[in-house]
Parts: sequence; C-alpha cells; structure tokens
Amino acid sequence: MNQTLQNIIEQGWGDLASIAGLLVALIGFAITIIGVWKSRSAAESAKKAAYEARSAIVRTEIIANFSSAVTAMDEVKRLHRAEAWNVMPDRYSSLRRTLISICSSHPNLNEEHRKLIQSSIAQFRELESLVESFLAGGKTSPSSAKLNKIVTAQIDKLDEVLNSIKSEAE
Amino acid sequence: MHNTKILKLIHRLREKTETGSLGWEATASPKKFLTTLSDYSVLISEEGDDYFLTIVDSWDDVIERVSDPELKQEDRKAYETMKSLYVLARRNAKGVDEAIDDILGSIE
Repeated sequence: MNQTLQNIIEQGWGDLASIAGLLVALIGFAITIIGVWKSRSAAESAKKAAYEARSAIVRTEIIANFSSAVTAMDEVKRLHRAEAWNVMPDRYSSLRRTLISICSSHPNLNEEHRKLIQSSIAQFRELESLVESFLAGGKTSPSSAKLNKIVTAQIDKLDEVLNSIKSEAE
Repeated sequence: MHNTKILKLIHRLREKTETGSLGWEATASPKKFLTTLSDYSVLISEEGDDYFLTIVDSWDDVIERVSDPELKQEDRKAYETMKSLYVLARRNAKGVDEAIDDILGSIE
C-alpha cells in the first residue's frame, strides 16, 4: 500500500490529477455558463413573443374600435340626411363615449393621434349642443350638408390615425 | 391670479395663431372655433356682444368658461384681445389667408 502511494508521489500522478480536476471544473463551469445563457435567451425570447402577441391584440382591438366609430359616423351622416334630429343627441353622445374610451383604454396612442381624437370629441359635443338647441325650440333647422361636412372631417381624422397604426404594424 | 393665467393663455393663443403655428377648426356652430392642445380642446366663440373662451378636458368636461366682461378687471382691453383671437381663429379655420393669396396670385 505504502509502495503504491510512493509510486504515485514519485511519478507525479497527484499533479496530473489536480490538472485533470481543474480541467473538469473549467469544462463544467463553461457548460453551466452556456446553459444559463441559453435559458436566459430562451426566457427573453418568450418574453418578447408574449409582448409582441399582446401588442398585436391591442392593435387589433384599436382597429376594431376605430372601425366601429367610423361605422357609427357613417350612420350619423345618413340620419342627418333623413333629418332625424330627435335621435341625434343620443348618437352624438354615444360616439363621444366611444372616442373617450378609445383614448383612455389605449395610452400608447401618440400625442398627435390623441389630439385628433380629442378634437373629434369636441366636434361631436358642438354638434350635440347645436341639435339640442334646435330641439329645444330653435327656429332654423340645422343644415344636414354642413353637419355632414364636419362629420366627414372627423371620419378623415380617424382614417388618418387608423392608417398610421396599420402602417406601424407592418 | 386665476384670470391673469387665462389672459396669458389668450395672449399666447393669439400669438401662435398669428404666426401660423396654431391651427383652428370650424365647428357646427358658425360662431365657434376649436383648437386642440395637449389633452384639451379650446374653443373661442362669439355669443351676443361677448366673446367666450371654453376649455374642455379629455373626458369631455368643460373645465373653464370665461367671457371678456369677466376679464375686464384684470385687463381693460380684454374685449379687444378676445375679439382679435376670435377673428384670427375664424380666418385660420376658414382658410381666408390662403384664399386671398390664391386670388392675389391669379390676378397678379
């Protein structure tokens, strides 16, 4: 037994074992680092994919909300032509609520887009006030052509925002 | 103090409109014009003999409405100042300057 130990010491097996141990430790360390790096980048990829999926859902929701607002505005134009003034105040206020909800539920809209929506909200408030005054006993009936010119301008604004959102998505 | 701020806002709106860096829109009411700044809409209107400035927030609530007689104490020229803003806003919303430029261009 003593002879065997003596041989190991004399032939430098201990040094070799130390070097081999060090190599194994270094390889193990490298494998661990690679493993950590891989799992980290996988987690980041998953996070990015989740973010992109969420953004796509929000964009789809914005596009759907805008489309329904534009449809409601087209309906308002038809009702103006039919001079259905009695039902208009409710339509205007419903449209305003839709536009307010678009703004409040999508904080990512940029300042320019928010300004366009904000001015549309104010325009529908003015339309409502004008028609309410007429319904309260005003003598002159509102001009459907003039009112539709204003509504068309609001549709154009929403289209501008919508196209910009769509092109950002592409 | 409060009206002083409003007057400062009116003067600033007038300057910006005059230099063309602020645009106005016509509204359903023929004597009311609208501009949007940040999250607020500002309206200038002529109602009877007075001029009114109205501020509406993003929740569609009127948060301020002031007329030139109310500002007279702070500024004796409040009427002239608001009338001047109203005229500039109307010209801007109707595109009067562009129309005059076009007409001048066609007869020169």
